[in-house]
Amino acid sequence: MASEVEETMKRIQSHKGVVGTIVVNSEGIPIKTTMDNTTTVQYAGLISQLSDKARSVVRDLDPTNDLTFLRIRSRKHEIMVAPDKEFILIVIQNPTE
Amino acid sequence: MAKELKFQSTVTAEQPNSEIKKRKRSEAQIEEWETIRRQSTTVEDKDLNIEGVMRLTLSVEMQRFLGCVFGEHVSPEMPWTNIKKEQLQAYLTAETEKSEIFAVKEPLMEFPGTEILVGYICSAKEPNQFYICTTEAAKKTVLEMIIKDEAEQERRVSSYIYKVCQEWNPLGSGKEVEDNQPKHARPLLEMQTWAAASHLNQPVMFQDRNVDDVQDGYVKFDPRRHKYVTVTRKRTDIAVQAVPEKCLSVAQTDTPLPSNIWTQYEFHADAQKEIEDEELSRSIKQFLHEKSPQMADLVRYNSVFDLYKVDYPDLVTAGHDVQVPKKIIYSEYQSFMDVRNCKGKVISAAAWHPMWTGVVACAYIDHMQNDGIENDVILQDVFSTNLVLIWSFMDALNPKLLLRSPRKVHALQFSPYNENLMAGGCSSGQVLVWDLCDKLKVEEDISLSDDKLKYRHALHDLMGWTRPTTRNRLVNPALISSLEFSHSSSIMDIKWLSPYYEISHLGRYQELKSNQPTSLQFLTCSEDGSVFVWDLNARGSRRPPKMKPKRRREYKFMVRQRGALSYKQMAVLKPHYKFVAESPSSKGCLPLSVIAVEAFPLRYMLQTQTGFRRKFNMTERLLYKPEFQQVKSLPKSKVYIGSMEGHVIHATWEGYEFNLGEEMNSETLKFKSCGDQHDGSVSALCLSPFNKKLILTVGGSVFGIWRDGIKNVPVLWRTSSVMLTSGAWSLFRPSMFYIARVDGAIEVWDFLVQSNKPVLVQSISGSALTGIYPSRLGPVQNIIGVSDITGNFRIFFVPQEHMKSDPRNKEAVTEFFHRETECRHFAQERQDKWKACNADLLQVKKMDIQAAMKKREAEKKAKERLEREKRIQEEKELQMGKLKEEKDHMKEEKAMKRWNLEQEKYLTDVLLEKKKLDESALMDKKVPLDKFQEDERQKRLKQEERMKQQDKLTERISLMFPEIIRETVKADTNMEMVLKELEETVNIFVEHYKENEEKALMFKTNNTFEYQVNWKELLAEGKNRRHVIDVELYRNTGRIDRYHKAKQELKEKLDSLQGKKGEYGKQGPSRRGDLQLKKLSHLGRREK
Repeated sequence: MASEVEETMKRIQSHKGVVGTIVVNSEGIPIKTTMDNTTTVQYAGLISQLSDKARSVVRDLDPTNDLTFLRIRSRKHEIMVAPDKEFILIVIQNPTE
Repeated sequence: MAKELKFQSTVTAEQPNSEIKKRKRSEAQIEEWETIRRQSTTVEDKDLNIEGVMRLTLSVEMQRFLGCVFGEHVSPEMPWTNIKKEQLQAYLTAETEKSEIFAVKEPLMEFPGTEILVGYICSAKEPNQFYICTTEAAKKTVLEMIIKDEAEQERRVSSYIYKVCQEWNPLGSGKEVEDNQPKHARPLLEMQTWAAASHLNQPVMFQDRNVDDVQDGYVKFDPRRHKYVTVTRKRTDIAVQAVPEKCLSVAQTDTPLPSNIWTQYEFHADAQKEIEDEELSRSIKQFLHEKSPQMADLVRYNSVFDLYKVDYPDLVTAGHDVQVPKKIIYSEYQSFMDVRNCKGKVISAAAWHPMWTGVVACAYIDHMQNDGIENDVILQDVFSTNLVLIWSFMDALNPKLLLRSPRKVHALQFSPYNENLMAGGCSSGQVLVWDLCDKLKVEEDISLSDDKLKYRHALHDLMGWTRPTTRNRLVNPALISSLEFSHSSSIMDIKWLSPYYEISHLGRYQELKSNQPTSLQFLTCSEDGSVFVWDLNARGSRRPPKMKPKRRREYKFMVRQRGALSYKQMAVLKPHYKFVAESPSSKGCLPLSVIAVEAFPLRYMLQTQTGFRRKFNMTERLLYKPEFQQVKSLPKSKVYIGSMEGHVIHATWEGYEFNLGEEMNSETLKFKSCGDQHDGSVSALCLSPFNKKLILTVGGSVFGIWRDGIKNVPVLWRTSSVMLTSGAWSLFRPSMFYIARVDGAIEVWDFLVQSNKPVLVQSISGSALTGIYPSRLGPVQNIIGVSDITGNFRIFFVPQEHMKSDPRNKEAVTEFFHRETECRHFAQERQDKWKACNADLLQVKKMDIQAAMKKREAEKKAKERLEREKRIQEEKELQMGKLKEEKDHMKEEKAMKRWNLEQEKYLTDVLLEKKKLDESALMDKKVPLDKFQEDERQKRLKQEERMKQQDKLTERISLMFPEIIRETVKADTNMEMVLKELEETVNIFVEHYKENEEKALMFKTNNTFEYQVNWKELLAEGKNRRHVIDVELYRNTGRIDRYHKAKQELKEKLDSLQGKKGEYGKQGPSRRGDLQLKKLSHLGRREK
């Protein structure tokens, strides 16, 4: 079971320029990660917070709407966030690599 | 003072032992001072002259009793002391009267105070002598005296004391003193104060002010004189805290990750750890299953494309892309014009040499003039010099070769694979073939120095008297087709056929016969509606198809033989096969103007020896040789023709399978498509060099681009406001072509750039252009030749911008036309559908239109008849009146005229003589003015002509669109409405019909036919007609008569001349003589 999860994450990780993949639960606690502990904790905490905020923004704009995906483009990375009810999948990619 | 001294002594006592000597001395001094002082302060032994002070002697016991014992209470230093009044009173009461004190008992008893002042008198001779103050006043005075004495004594003492300056010995107090003293601990603060100037200049607002409220509210002036003291403040104390406050700040130089409530927990995310919770694991799996494909897609996309890249800077690939486009201009390189031979002539055709660079052939014909005898076509044909000139870039003034032709040449074409052959088409319908006999090469052989050239020119000039026969510039046609087998009307175009195949007698393409290297066939089309195939190889036995390079000797032979090339001999050349084009609209032949056949593959290779990367000069002549290629398939038997009536036809033929037995097989062309979009004769029909299927046609004021496969309509056509005369495809861009206009401008079109208007319109000549010819060869490919109506052949450089072409353009062109075709098909389909649906409606409309037209025509005719009648009546009246008057006036008028003329002449003569002017010079000066006037007149005529045309056009248009259509246009969309209207109109028509029938019947019964013949009118009309016919006839018969007469005369003249100059007569070939004769007769007739 768990190996399947890891396999999926590895598949994503194998793409060009992918720096890390994290699965975070709804409380912001990382469950699975391919990065080191400190970075994971940072990403998990901050991104889950941001994603919650983004979701609330979307809901405020239209109560029937929901956030499905979030992309944060920075100078160095692109952070892609796929939020769900229970978990959040975070992929950090360096597209210019 | 004593105290001080004492203090001083104590101070000295404190001094260290080392200074004992000094102290001893000072003690001695003190003693001395004491004595002095004693003397001074001692109460003197004399009576004090003060009221109330008494002198008495007191015994020792008494002294003791009173408390004023000498040596105990009083002393010489301190003589005065106070005694108690109670003690004194007690003593007085107790003692007896014998005591001396009783003398002062009474005043003493009355003394108010408690203490009585007593003083010992030291200086008295007797001891125990005392002063006593008996009254209060005395006591006061004595006390004052004592203070006074003391002060006196102190003064005296102090003046006696000798003070010595001594060293200051600090004992510890110095520091304290120093601390209290203000000192300059730092440099003084410098202060500067100033007021802002703006503050001074500000507007002042005055307001009420209570003087009592403020300190300096008012100043009081005393009436008296008062001195005011001004105290200046010289110092200001300002305290400044100059020491910065102490501050304490701490910076964190270590950079840990910032943490907040969300990230500060100490959670250890272990990736390797297996997830134990079954539920959690399943849900994660589920989640990842959902989300990972999308995420993977995005990640992949991201790694391939940079979605956020700024592409704008990359849009401009090269710097020159953003530059402002330069103005494109076709600049002129050269202009060919032979003033001697071709003045006032028109270039009817021109052709670039396909193998020699910078060689062009131009055919010149006369202007079509409108006035009188000049318009005589036959005379013009017979007597005018019909030249075809071959120009080269070397010389812009003198043509390279002069080709002779018996008739006007309307078409010219070099053979694309034989450098010496050129075919021409005459106005008589004959075909000419010139053999240039390698004469173009001659110039190559000459390698003369400048001097030699000069001499040669000089010699040539001197030889001007010789006949030009020796000049090798003249070329006569090598072949002329026989008149009987030629076209019956002027040849309009010539096209050479493929060298790889030939058209057989049966009209079919076939392989070459074994002994022929190439075929030598060409097509001609003519005004009589026929297309002929000519085959030069057919005469193979007589003439080798390819010319061997001729030696000079042979050439001479040719010259001698020239006279022998008579028309009769030429009769052998006859067409090979014949096509006939029939008019699609009416029975009869279709006058053709242009023809085009499918291009055949032929490459030209540079023949002239050239150095590596040599730069080619424009004037340099390079020779290219055709390189034949293997062609496998037979060409399709199809031909494109343009007619004088504006048809553009794509025609095919089949040929025959067996010989019909006729001398020349002929066949009617089958029209695959026939479009008549042109409003005038088709003047150009060109196949695109890039796309076999595209055809450019120019005719009238319309040019069109046709595509194979689309029937009867061009893919694209544009109407211009001016007439177009010619057109040609660009050799560089598949989408570009040139159009020549009547107003002397060329249009450059590029339908990929813009298809609604030309890319460039450049006016290059003041007069109408007749043709446009892009050059096709090597280094001179960038030029384009334009001929105009004044006989100039101008050569222009094609700008670089129009020579560049994107390889994708070719596809784009195909795509463009494909799209256009689709559109057209779609539109056609829709139209057909609509027509099918609304057939009845159309029928009704047609009927309506016809009815309306008929009605109008009838009206018009009636009107015209009325007018004619009226006019005839008027004319008659006038003539009757005139005839009478004329007879009387004729003689008078004639005489008057003559008189006036003579007078005028006389006057002018006198004037000229007086002013000493030359008539001829004046006439010369007048020439430009005349010319200008003539031009004006021409212009006006043209304008009028145009106006007339306009009227006609509008009339035609108005006929085509009667009012009925306009009314019903909108109703078309609704079928029901239309039907309703239809019914109504039908009803109306029925009613009208009934009415009209009645009327017509009435009219018929009322007006029975009666025609009155006016014999006089009829006769006059007949006479008039007869007169017209006679005049025309006379002209014709008269011309023949005149011609014969002139011929006779000239023959006589010539005979007489021959008698004089026998040699000329022998040498001169008969034809030349004939020509001259004709010319002379022509001139003679003119003089008449």
